[in-house]
Amino acid sequence: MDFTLPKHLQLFKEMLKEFAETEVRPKAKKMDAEGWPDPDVVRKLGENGLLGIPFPTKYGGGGLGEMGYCLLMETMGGVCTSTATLIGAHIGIGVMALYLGGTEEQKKKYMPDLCNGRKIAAFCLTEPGAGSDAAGIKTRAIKDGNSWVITGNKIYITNGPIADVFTVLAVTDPALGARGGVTAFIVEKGMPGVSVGTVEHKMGIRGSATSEMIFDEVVVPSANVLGQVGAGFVTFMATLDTGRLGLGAACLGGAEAALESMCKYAAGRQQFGKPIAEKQAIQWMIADTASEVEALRSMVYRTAWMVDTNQPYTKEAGICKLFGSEVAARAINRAVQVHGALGYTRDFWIERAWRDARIAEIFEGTNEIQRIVIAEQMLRPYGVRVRP
Amino acid sequence: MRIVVCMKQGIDPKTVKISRSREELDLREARPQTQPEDKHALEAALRIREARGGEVVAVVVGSRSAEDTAREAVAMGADKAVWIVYKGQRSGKTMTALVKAAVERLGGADLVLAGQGGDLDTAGPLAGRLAAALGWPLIADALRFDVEPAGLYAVAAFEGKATRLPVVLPAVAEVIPGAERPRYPHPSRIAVAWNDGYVETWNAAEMGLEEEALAADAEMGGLVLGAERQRGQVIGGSPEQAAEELAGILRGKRLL
Repeated sequence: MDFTLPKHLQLFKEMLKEFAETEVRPKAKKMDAEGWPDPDVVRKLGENGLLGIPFPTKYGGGGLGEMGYCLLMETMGGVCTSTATLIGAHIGIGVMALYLGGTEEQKKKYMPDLCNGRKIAAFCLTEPGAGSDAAGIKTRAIKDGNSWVITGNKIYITNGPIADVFTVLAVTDPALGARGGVTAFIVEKGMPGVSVGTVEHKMGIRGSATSEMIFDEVVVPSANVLGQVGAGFVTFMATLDTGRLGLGAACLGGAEAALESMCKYAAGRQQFGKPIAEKQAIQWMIADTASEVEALRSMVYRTAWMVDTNQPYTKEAGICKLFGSEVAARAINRAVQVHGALGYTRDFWIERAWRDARIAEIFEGTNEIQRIVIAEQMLRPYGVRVRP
Repeated sequence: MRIVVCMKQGIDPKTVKISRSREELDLREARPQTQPEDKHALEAALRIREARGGEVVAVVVGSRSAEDTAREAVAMGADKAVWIVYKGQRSGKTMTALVKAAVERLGGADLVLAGQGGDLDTAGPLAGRLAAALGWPLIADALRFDVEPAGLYAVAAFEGKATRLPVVLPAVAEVIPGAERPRYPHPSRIAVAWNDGYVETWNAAEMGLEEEALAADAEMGGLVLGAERQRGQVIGGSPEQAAEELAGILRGKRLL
């Protein structure tokens, strides 16, 4: 076994670090304060090829696979969770649904502009009555000649207000249920009937834009059916697997940054005549965090390798998301404690990271849903059906 | 138009420690990196190519790990790179002989760009020696190049001012950091940079160079260490207590 990153990914990691420190970190506080992504950051992400990292170069992607994508999310997660969220919603689920479920023509038509950032993607699944219960969506698509008419509201759509291309899940045959009766569509911003509804004011990840999306009798051509009619639910669930892995990678970055900050601060902060790093209470927090970060990194990198080598990874992606979000929350919470009052002030990034971390236990499938996904994968060989 | 860019692999100065007890550089944790100064030269070459067409070839001299610099040049956008495997000391004379031979083996060049010597670069500035060896004009301290229908112009720092000069090709230019930041390696190029076909591996013998031509004309005389910086002192307590203690220390040192 060789745990060394290949040379090209080592260079990519260095590039990411320089990019994140130069282009993203200086804007992170401002994005959080303004509650909106910085257009300059989004433009530079696109210009530098960072919005299509895992996809093949023939579609305009970076050709660096899931491992490259996880390195991107890890780096951004350690610098600006909002930017990691924007990227995750764009690459990890928005474009990924197109890549996994789309026809060759659809990939060639849409992916180049999405990979270079000329267009931004959003993934439209959640509805007022369908969050964890994804199969309970009410958005309807009715066939009308050579078109489909989509009507419904989607909520908590990351990138909604800034997106140009939406992958939208809608019921096409209520009698068939989720497996066969639900279809995914490619919807474009300019189509009549597409509008941005309520823009959410969030506790954290404030530098990413989240909104309701309204689809009011939107007429889309049949060519915009993502893959096959009736295959939407399967495509969306497969898409969520990669989304969960990417989120786990972003959590890894957040936990690593918290750990580094804890060590640096504890080594310099003097109380009772010596650095607080010499106190066992602090050392234990650092040791526990370091242990969890090591475990998470191995988990994320191994799962990325499984994706890149075409192995099933639903269970592992769920574990990365579940464990990653909890590790990040614990690491950042400990970091606030180590930094004391400084960690509670808006002047210091750890306060923002604490607010940002909370959502990771909720979105991309709550941690309760992840436990069901993981248990289902574990118990299926024993004939046990695990259902919510 | 063929533009050759001379690039070197150096050491990240932040990873070098100084062993005062042994009076030597402690390189155990040193990390190699592409000389940042050379990336400015590559950026200038890529911009000329984008405006005027042609080919950018990075020439890298160094031992095993220098291949990474050749690959990085490709990832940044060079059409190809030549990695000259050379394990000896990189003096100015050696580098000049190797790069000149590489230019000749490539079939010539219209423009050769080099960065300034780096912090830990034993070869020193290369452009001047290379221009003399090739018999080409030298543009010193070039900040950028403008491609216009009338030809190529260099904007160079001269006596503290940016001065625009027509470039008579073939020429050698030393590029210094200006407003044009080197681009990041592009992911789609990173993905292929380690594939076959982008980096050619040459050695001195293949280029017809004998040992005498490569003999270093300078040798390391020793290490001169600056004065050791004193450790700082952290003063704890409330701001009022700390201020009082600080004032006491300063008075004790007769600084107040």
